[in-house]
Amino acid sequence: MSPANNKLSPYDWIIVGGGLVGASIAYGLIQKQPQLRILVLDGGDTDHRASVGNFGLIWVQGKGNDFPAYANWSLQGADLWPEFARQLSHKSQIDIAYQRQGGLEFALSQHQLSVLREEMATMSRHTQGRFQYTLLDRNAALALQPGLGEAVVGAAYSPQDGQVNPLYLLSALHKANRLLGVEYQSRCPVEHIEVLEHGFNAAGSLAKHIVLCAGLDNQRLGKQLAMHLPVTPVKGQILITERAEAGKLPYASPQMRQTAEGTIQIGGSHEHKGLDNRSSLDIMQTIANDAVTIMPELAKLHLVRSWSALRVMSPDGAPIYQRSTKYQGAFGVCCHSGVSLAAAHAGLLSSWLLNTLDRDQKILIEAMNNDRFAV
Amino acid sequence: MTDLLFSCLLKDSPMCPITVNGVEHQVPARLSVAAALLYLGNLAIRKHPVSSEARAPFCYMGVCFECLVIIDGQHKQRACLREVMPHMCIETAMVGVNP
Repeated sequence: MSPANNKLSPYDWIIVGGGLVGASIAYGLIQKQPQLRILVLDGGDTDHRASVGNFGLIWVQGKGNDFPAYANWSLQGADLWPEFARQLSHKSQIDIAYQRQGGLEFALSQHQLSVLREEMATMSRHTQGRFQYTLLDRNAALALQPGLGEAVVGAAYSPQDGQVNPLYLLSALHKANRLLGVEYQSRCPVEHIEVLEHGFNAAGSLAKHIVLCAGLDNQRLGKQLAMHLPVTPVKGQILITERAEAGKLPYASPQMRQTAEGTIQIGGSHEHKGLDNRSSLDIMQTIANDAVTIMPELAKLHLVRSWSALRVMSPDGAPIYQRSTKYQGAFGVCCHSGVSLAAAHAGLLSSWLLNTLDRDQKILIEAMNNDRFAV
Repeated sequence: MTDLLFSCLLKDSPMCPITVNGVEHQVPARLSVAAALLYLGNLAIRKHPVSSEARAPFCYMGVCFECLVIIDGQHKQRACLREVMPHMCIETAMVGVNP
């Protein structure tokens, strides 16, 4: 379809942003209503792409401790993952290396362990006991993860946590979308969105509905559609080791995970440095030290790469699902958990956009709109 | 197969004696270790630590880490970044030693 034709015949949906959030939503929309004409507008390679710097956890522990809707949403999202992964791998013929073997959050002091105990209990309360976890003392943690450093006093384990290869995930979503008929334009930055009588004009393409999934740029684009989407960058740095024998880390954790190919990823940093996305030696040393404190054996592995990326963070860390009250058909989706929530975005959020959700599910999603930031 | 690739080097190059997995060879001087191994007909030089699949140097510029060998007792050396030196002793993972 040539750009000239696009102008004559509007799309049903334009998704601004082809990262994990935008690609998951497009994937959900086209599966629910295959006749829809959907266009994904993606930026350039030098944009801040959180989706290609991701750690790859599908994480439930500790999400939404202060926000019951987010706790339930995270858990629901993780529970939708197995079927989502199966279908996506089948459709795309890409093995995205999804595993749900559970995750460990390590405690390096009795104080940290009691904080974990409190958090896990809160999360279980928020989810009416659906969140499953076990608090482990040092010996119980060692039974799951041999080789732990002496500083580890215990851990929280949840069987509901998992991991995936985030690059294969993004690639699988794009491939499946293409096969299902979603149109995609790369290197197509959206500077300005024009509001028309019955829709929107973004970068010369017209649509009846528009969803902002542009990560950090949502703040700027949201204003043009009268939506307050307060997101800021939080830098995370990642270290990559050489390939190691399988089974070194049977369970994922926020500090480290072993990929299906044997690589060990080390991460877990959070920095507020604006749009500076460079790696830095001090943080690399800190996260390497933390990882070796937890698993001394990792010190024997060579590091082969490092990178950093910018998380898309809302003021309270939870997603923002916003419908423009001024312009019908415009939506904003912001979150830093594009991997964890990919199945929820494809499965449930796309139904919310199509207004086909049942009442309870709609209430849950709309509890995560921006009213909570009103002053 | 590799003879053709290296024919221009073979013409005038001085040769350099190296040992690969205990066997002495002469290779053109100034080759990288990875190129020397290819010159000697070693396509796969390593096994993947997870799948045990045979692996070969891929990028020849220090990025892919597929060419790890042991050089003079030093483990995990990138063969593509080291030049052959007289009497260099190279061991590859295909004989059962993990570099």
